[in-house]
Amino acid sequence: MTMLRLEDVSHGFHGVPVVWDVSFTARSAEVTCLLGPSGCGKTTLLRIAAGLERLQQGRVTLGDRVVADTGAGIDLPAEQRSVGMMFQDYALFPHLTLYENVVFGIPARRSDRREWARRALDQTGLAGLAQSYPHMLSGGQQQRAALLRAMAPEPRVLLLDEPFSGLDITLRLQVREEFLAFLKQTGVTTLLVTHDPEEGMFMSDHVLVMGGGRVLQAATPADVYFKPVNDYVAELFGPVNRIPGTVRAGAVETPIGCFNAAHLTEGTPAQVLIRPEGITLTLTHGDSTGENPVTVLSARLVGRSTFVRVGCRATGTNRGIDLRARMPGVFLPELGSAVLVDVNLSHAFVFPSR
Amino acid sequence: MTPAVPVMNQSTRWRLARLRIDVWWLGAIVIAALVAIPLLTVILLALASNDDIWPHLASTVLPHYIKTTLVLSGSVGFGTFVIGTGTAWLVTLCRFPGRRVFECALLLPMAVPAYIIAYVYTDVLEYAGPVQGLLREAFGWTSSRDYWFPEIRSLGGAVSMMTLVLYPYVYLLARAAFLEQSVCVLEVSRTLGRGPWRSFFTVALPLARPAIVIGTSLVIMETLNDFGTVDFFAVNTFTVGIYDVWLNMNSLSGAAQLASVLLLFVLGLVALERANRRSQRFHHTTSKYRPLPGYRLGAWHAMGAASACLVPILLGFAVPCGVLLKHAIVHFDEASAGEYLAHTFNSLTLSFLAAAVTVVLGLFLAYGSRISGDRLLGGLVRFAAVGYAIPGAVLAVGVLHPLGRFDNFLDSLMRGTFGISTGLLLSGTIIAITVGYVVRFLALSVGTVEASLAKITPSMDDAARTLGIGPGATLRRVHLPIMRASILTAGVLVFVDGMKELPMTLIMRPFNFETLATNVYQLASRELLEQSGLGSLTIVAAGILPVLVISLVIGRSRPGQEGALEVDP
Repeated sequence: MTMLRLEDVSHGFHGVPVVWDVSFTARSAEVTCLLGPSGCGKTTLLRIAAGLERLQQGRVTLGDRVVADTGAGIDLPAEQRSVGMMFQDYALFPHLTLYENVVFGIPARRSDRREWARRALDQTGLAGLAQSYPHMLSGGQQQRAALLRAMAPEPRVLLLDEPFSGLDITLRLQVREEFLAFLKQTGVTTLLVTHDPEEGMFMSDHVLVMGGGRVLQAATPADVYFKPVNDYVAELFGPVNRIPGTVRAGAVETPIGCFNAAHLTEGTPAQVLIRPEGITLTLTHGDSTGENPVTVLSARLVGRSTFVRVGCRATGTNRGIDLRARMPGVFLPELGSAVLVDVNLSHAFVFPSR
Repeated sequence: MTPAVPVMNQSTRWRLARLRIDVWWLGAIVIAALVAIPLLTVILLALASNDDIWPHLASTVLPHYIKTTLVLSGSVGFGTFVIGTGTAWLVTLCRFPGRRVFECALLLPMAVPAYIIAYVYTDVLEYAGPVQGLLREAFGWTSSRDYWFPEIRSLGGAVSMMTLVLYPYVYLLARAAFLEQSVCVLEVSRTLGRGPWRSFFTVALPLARPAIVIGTSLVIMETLNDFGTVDFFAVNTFTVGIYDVWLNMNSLSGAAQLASVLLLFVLGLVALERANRRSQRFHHTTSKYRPLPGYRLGAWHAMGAASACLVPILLGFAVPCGVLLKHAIVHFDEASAGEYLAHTFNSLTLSFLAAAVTVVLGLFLAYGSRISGDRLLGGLVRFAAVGYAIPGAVLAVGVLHPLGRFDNFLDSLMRGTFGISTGLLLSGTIIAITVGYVVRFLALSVGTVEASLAKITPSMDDAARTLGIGPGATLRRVHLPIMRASILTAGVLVFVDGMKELPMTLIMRPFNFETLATNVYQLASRELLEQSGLGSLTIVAAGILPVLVISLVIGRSRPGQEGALEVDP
């Protein structure tokens, strides 16, 4: 199959740069994800890859073919690149039936692809709706139709722009699985843009975390989660507990323990980041925990887990703490109960202070 | 930590942006530039004139032209504002019998060109006409010294005639604005203790102001463009002046100078209109649109409202059509035996030609500027579309001059190289008039097509591109099928304006070439009004077409509901 490579791409709108010197590769037959908040430039990169946005600086390679290169003065328009793209709003043509939409991009001579489209409609349960118009279809049906339309001309690479954002949460989880199975079955090189880290991790073999127009980290989903390169990446998966401190003797000391900081310069200010799910609380049942115990401030059951806020007052040299923990299942102690705080070190990270 | 800022200097970007020069961008630039030539010609002619007629004009007729034009356009503007806004408010927010019929019927006078209604009322109201005849009989008067009767062929007459047929422009826009107003603001006003009248003057009217200003400025542009009425009534406006200086004083540059003054005035109006269009977008503070509740009127009020709506329709449409119908039937044999069919054929051919060319060019311009996203092109397209605001007599100056230059150039070229004289190839042909029509009416089609294109999300274009379909095929396979109805509307609008067009046709037509409009004008100036009935009626009948189309659409144009025209099977 084909890989997609962007090299040294910079891009701006009306003189305001949105992408800075970005390079990455979407490997053949894998799903690569551009993950980041809105406005970080990820959709711009997708559109540059598609040829919908004129390249301003850099180079785009599709397989062994350079499709855009500002140095060489090449910039193939989208229609000559053989890319499949699925749009956030699906962009189904309102005047065409579902079937006509799906076969829209198939060249007249490719009867084999028309056959493929018919079979795919069958497999996805859309065959009965082939003659319906887009406005008669549900969100999920429109979404599947948009995917089939993008895949029908047998593109060399599939580009997905927030493909699940139009679906409600229950449907999204179900569709995501079918979608991934379909991608793996066809083995198409895929570049996915999303702002939802869970979605990015679920769908991808390779995640590129973007922020401020740059790629901050390129790694496997597990590494992005467990080895974030900075506090920004660590916070991508939700708010974290942030405890300030100073590096002393290769560690940062906090009221709930010492954290290894051998990678930081001695004496510099640092911050310890702990994910709520990395904190385990144990009720002490009256056992002595010192004169200034950590107590439960609030506990809220949110379904599969409980959000618990715990803390202790600042006294003298002790700066006090205020932590948010996510306990699995039901954990609803009385307010004011004293607890022991345990930190799972794979969810705790030490970074320099910003 | 921060990497070096990428170097993107201006010249690199310019070069890169031009890597994909496409025919659309180039074609649109060329078309827009060609359409802009007549406007530039008028300005250049005025600046470069050497036979200086200006001081002479300034000391003699100019002050009179200016005064008459200002009074005429001011009065017509005010009259149409009162009738248009008032009737729009009545049919939109009050409930009385016949409201739904009035809603559409109030548009009918739009179908009647001002010069035709002027001819009809002259016929009816002059000394020998039926009204004065009836009065003399009833009161036993014997001559005009026995009584006073308003003279129709006067400035006041011209104001009345134009007001009667132009108020629908204000009505249409004001009505749309009232419909778009969130019902909440009106209800807030009522809960704060303001009755219907005070709510109208303090809330609804100020909110609708941009739309009303746009409508009124359109009316004033139409007033400035009018030639038939003012010529017939001997009211000396600028347009008459241009015609007079050019054809009677034989001074092209003098005409161009007058035209430039008028152009300046019109451009001011256009700027005003555009400013109001921009501010119109920010007016809606809430997005709650429920069906407007409407004030239920008691019997007396309902009768008052119904008469207020009925009078403009009667005077602006029913009476003139009745008179024309009578003339058409009585004089059917002479009228149809004449060259009625030939004139109709000429009118249809010209209007159809203009409509077809205008729609194709408008589509090219609108689509070209959409896909290139080029600001320069966008500006050029807007400038080219100013043609609609330019009086026909002014445009005629601007179109004929470059065409004549081209003819002479071609002639000398052909004589020099092949020894053949091509003579005046384009000037004074049907091609010249078509060019004039296209330049004048392009705005109608560009505007309609642009509005319709704007409703198609850009991701449709992108989707087609990534599916391997080029810009041309995308237009053919995606945009055209979706916009079919709007394109038809654009064509109909241009067609009807072509049927009505008088001043430009009069100046530019080939020798002995008559359209329905010019023929009606000729007959009217020879006091043979009765014979023009059939021709006039034909023009009015064609004018009813867009009225039907528009009235189908407007009832469904509240936000949240799609316009009927854009709905596809």
